[in-house]
Amino acid sequence: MIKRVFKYLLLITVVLTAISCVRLDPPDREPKQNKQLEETTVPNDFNWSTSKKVELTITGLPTVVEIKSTLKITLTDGTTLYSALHNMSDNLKINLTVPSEAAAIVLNYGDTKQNLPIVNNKAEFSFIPVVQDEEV
Amino acid sequence: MKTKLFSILISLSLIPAMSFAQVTLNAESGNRAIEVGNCWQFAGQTYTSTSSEVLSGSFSLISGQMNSFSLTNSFIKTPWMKVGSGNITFIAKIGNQPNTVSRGVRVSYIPYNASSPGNGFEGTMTTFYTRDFNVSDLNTVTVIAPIPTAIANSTTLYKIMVSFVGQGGSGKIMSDNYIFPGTYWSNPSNSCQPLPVVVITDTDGDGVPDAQDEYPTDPYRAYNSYFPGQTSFGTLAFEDNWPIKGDYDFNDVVIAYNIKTVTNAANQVVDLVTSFRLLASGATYNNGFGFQLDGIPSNKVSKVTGNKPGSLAMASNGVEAGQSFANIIVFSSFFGEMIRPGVGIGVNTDKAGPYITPTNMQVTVNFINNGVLPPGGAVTLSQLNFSNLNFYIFANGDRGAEIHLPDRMPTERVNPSLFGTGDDTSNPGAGRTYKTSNNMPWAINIVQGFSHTVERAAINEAYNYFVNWASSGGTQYADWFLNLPGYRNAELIY
Repeated sequence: MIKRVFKYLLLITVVLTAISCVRLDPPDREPKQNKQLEETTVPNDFNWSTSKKVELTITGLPTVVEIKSTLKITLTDGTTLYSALHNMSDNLKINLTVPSEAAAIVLNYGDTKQNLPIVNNKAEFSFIPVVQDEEV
Repeated sequence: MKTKLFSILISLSLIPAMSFAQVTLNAESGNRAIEVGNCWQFAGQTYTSTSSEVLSGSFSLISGQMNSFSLTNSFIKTPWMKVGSGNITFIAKIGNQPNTVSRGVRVSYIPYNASSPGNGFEGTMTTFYTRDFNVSDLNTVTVIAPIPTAIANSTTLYKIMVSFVGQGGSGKIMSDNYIFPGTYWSNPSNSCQPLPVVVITDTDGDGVPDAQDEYPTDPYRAYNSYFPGQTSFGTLAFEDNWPIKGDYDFNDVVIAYNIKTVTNAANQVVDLVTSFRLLASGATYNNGFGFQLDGIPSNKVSKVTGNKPGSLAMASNGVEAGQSFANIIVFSSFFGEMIRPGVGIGVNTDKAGPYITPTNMQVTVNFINNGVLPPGGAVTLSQLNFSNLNFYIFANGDRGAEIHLPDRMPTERVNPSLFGTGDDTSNPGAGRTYKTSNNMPWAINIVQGFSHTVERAAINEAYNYFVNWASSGGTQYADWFLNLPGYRNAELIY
């Protein structure tokens, strides 16, 4: 009887010892084969973000008197990205991050409201108006 | 409460102009568009730099051919001005062309008329000076037009229009060096309407009128800028097994974010108000989360409030101690902020478990404290934008096990020995970080917001066009995360 109990105890000990020696990775750490992702070729410069950077260049107008007003840059849906006091005479570069699908941003200054297309991650605006050549 | 006049700002700016008390036009900008931008109007007039046509300096004005006595065929018109007294003067010369019959100049004034917005607020024009040139005299002449007493030194605003008239031949009229006694009073930012003549309230006296000031009673704050929007949140999704590849479910830490940048009238950043919503953590690791303000020295921060750095060492201003750039530890223990329900691995990644309401945290990084700059000086809005925010998690309490978005630089607290080990192919010195050999990341940023996957569901299994987006470098299926027909497998989305 004692022999049998000893045998069982020994068996249990061996089993427990064996189990305890196996390194059980936490469930979320087990490597899981994902052939599709592992075989995907991703461009080296891809930033894995659904946004893009835009450099907005603003050309100032040399004004006769100092003109300061609020410069507001928004998305076309009105989302405000940038808001600051701006001297109309100053040149300015603004680095913005916008959703990758944004094709334009909107500049608001005084009563000027203008859509600025985003081309090659750049947008431009000049306070100097475009003037057609006069027929003289 | 003190009220200041915004017009003071303008008045100060006008001092140079008022001391000369004249509005001038000499074409020396060489670019008529600059004058148009400053509210001058031209018809049948351009600038010339042809030496035989220039009367003074490098540029002069030149008319078209004179075939009309209409005052509106060829003219220059001043911006709105408060007319002074004395003489309007300029020089002019008739071009040497045959068959010229007549050439002349007319000078008129146009009063401001608030009730005619459709006509640029211009009232009825009155011509007060006429001169007909001797067509055989090809010398430069000085035109002197006395300002009529009816408008001299008036508080009413006027424009002065100089018209060129004539008939016969193709001879043009060159002109230059216009001097109009008076004070410039147009606003180029407001469709060239008059500068403000009424009191504009600026309650806090910070130079930003109340109508434009988002903090009209706070002299230290004026504007808000947002990312991704005033009320919208972006989502950061991390794998936490770096430098070993994970299961690509990108739900080990899922956090929504909204950033508000508060600036003052000098466009210096006063506060960076960061709002975070802890959405899910399908992890056994208890991860921490923070962000570095790339390029912003730690001593440019005055204080940090609302964060829970735990036992990590912070400097007296609340940023992490021992870092050159400001690092803000938002929390050191995800599960300290969001209790695991005990069903599934973590929180909000197993549909069998209870939904745990996300924890909201607002962490404010204060740069200018009640107008007092920090030791490192001010940070301007142009120096701090969303691209400076370098988010990261650190895995399971190991501060050195930082995991960033791909190609973002680690902080000075990272354990550099981990780079290039396991599946990681980082080379920080070359600007490459947190990517596998085929450029897979350990973190993604969905600025439009994102519904994360359930536990163990790889993101490409849940979102059918994720791989198309990645392999195209983001040019295809840029909207892969939207809930559009065929875009995702609902059973794999939490």
